[in-house]
Amino acid sequence: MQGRHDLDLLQGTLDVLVLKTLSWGPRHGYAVARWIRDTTGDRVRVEDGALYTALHRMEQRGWIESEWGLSENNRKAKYYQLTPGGRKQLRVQTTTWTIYAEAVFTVLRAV
Amino acid sequence: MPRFPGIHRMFRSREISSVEREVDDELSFHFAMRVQELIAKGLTPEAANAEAERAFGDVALVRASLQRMGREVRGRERRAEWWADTVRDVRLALRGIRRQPMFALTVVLTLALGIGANIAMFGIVDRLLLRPPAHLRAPDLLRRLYFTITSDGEETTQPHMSYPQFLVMRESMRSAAGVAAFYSPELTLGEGDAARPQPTMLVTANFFSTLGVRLVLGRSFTDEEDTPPAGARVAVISYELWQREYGGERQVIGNPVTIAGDRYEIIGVAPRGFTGVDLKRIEVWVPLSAAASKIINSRYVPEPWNQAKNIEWLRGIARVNEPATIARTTSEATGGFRRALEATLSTARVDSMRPRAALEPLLLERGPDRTPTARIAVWLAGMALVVLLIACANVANLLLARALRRRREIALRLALGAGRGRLVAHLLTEGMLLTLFGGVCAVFIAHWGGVLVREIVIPDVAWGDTLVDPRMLLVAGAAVLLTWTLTSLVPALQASDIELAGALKTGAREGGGKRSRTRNVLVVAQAALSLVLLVGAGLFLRSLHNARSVDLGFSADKVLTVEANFAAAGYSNEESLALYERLLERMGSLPGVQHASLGVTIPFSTLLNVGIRLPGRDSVRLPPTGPPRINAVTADYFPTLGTPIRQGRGFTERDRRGATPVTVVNEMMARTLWPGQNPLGQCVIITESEGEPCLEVVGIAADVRWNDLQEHPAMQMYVAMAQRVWDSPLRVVYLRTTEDGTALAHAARREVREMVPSILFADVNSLAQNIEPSMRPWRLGATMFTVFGALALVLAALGLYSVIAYDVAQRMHEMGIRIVLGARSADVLLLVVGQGVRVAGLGIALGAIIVLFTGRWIRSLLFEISPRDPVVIAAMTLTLLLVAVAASLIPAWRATRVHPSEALRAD
Repeated sequence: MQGRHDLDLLQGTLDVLVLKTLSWGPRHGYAVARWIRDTTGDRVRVEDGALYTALHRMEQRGWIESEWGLSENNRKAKYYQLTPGGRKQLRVQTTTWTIYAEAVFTVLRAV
Repeated sequence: MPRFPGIHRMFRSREISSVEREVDDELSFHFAMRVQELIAKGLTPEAANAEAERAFGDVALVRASLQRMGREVRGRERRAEWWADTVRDVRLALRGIRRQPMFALTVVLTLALGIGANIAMFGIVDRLLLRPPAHLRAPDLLRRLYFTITSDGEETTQPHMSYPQFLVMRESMRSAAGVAAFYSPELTLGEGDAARPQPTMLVTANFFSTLGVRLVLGRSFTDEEDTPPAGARVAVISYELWQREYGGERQVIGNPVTIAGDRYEIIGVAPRGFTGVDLKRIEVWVPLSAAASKIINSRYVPEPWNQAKNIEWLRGIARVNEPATIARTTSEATGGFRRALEATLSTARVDSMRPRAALEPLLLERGPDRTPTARIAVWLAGMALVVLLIACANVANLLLARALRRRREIALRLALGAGRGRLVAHLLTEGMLLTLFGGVCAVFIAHWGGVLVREIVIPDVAWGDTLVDPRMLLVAGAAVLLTWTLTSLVPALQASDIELAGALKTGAREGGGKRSRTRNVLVVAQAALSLVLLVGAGLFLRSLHNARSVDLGFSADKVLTVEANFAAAGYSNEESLALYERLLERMGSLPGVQHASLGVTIPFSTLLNVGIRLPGRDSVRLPPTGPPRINAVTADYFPTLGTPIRQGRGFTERDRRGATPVTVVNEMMARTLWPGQNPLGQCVIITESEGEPCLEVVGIAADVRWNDLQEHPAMQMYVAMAQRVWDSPLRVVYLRTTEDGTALAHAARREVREMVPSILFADVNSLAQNIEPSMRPWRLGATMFTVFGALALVLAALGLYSVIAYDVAQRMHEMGIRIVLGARSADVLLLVVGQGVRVAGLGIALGAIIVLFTGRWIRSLLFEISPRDPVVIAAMTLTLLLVAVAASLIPAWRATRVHPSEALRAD
């Protein structure tokens, strides 16, 4: 039960991170992975496989859409970008996450 | 601006690569970038590879799940795209329909009539031949009892049995789950002014349980309530009667209902639409033994009804346990039938009759009692299909013509990159919409048409209140599908099969030779099928005419029959007879009555046979039609019914009791008994009882068809009523009226009521009304074939017109040249009309061949006319030709009006 709960949290967290990453514009999967790693200073450890699964799942849900394009080094790469639905999702999840995090902090500081 | 569905498809490259390829491409890009990054950080390529894989997790697992998701997304996209295409097609088609409303209306109406005819006819065939009567449990295990005997080498099969015979049958058929008997007379329901004769059913106590019907209220009869000779006066009423007379109140149980003058207690209500095992409406069910003595003993036989072996009035129904036991139950039934016969006849006599019982299907029309009506209905259902085919040909024709007119538009679309598949889909959508509209209208047409056919042409079947039921809707759906396929596929395929360059380059008037041929073939087929239907209509109209004008030996027009059951009102036999005498006197003096007479039997309703012998002869050799029929009548009988006296005289007032006993026989009887001799002055003895006098033949009357329009003449004798004592006190008054008898019927009823106020009901019918049901098969055939034939004719004319008109429009150029070169109007007219007549003529020739080859199948359904009757075929051929000329004349006239310069300039 406990482990399952952690995984759910992690998935939701990963989704919101990916959405945030894409909020600045279209990126391919590798760029998303790299940006998360660099920004968090490698503190949040995400398996690349889980990241791609999240990308495809969100595409299936219609939050993001994909298109083939050329990368910086002229290779064929799949670019993802937010749909209007994805943008709304990002807003909702950001709010939820912030409230959640603040609540947790409040509890922790109270000690 | 029109949108071309094919265009954006071309730019979509995604279709080309598979979902699997895309996932692999994406992942390999990822690994390449990652390894590159790690090498840049100073790792060896091997270490970099290992690190990238470690950081990724389970590659195979992720790859598989990505591919699965990819496939789901792709599937959803395809569906969305299909929907979008469909919606676009529907919109385009609707726009097309709005642009040409007349075209759409013609197509929809044509299809609606074609499909509607099929639904309506299916409904009728379904009721008569396919669907078992309502509310029966496991109806395929229910069978009707029939009995066959052979006499004089001729087999007769009939379903009737006496009550003692029924008891023997029930006892013998041990392997059956139940054997029930019923009798369905019309009995007076209600009292006083509200009393009306209604269809009722006398049933054995096990009737409802044998059928497995569940009453909606109350219970059915117990064995104690059905104990001969007099059972309990309890009744089960129909759902319809319950609703109509008792407002559907549950308190109806225990209420009284008056049946044939007796009060019965209502104990149950049958389910809605329950008719028993026949398809006729029934108002009340009562135990057999409750009403039998009144009906049987007051009318027909003196001995107790449950012992009377010589009146066969009951029909039997048996439930078998499973289909496999039918053979066994049948042989038990045959054994029972033998035993029943042996109760009155010697074993040798019974052996010679070769008695046989049979378990026949529940539906009357599928058993030995089938009537021509059901067979004609099946034919009509087939004809309805023919009408639908003609309608389809017509619509295909119209769509084809339209597709041709749109050739350039279509070619342009193809040139601009529209896929042929999309184009076909578009045309199919258009066809489907039109067909669907047609189907919806068809249901309404079937509804109203169904009312017409059911109530007017086949009124004696309880159709139930749903005119269009789920099964009919299913048929409608099938018809729509068939129609859609037939009408849309060919034009769609043809239209998409267009040579681009040619179609774009040439003007609208050229090309299309091949398609024109297709359209001509369709018109030829239409004309052929139309001729078949028209000839059918002609044959049935002639049959109906023949049936109407058949010489019955009496003239039924303007003859009323008055029946009043004085015995049922409590009078003795002698009193009853005196009352009839008085009634005859009073009726005879009513204004508007020319002749009046008393009698015993009624044409097309009742029949009595007697055994006879001739003095000095051992036995009388009977013709196949059996022993003579007899009627006891009063003086004015022959002029009243209009039966001509061929020789000698009819009865007079002097033929009373005590005078020389006399008889009048018909020509057939005279011919059979005294061939080559003068029948007048001969004498006949009726062998009903000992010591009967020899009746002197004083007159020869014309042969009459007493029971059936198509019967062979039977021996018939008439005796003077005053000279013969009859067991039954029931008589009928015949009245010949000067004009239509409706008003007189009223007066007659009033007379009876005034004379005997306690009488329940006086039944006044016109003789023509009695005969009417016998005309029904031909009336049904004549009506429906005429409707279908007329429909086919209109459709064929429309089809021919559209082909010729289109052709003329295409050849305006040529016509212009002809006129310039000096062709006169008559030449042009002849040219165009000639074309129409040629096409129609080909169809007629084809139709005539079909008629000649299929004629023998309907020979038995016609009345005294050959299915190859040359007059009918010639008349219908002429009709069709005239219609063809008329249909071609309008476009022909248009062709003569071509202004040469205009025609040459155009396009």
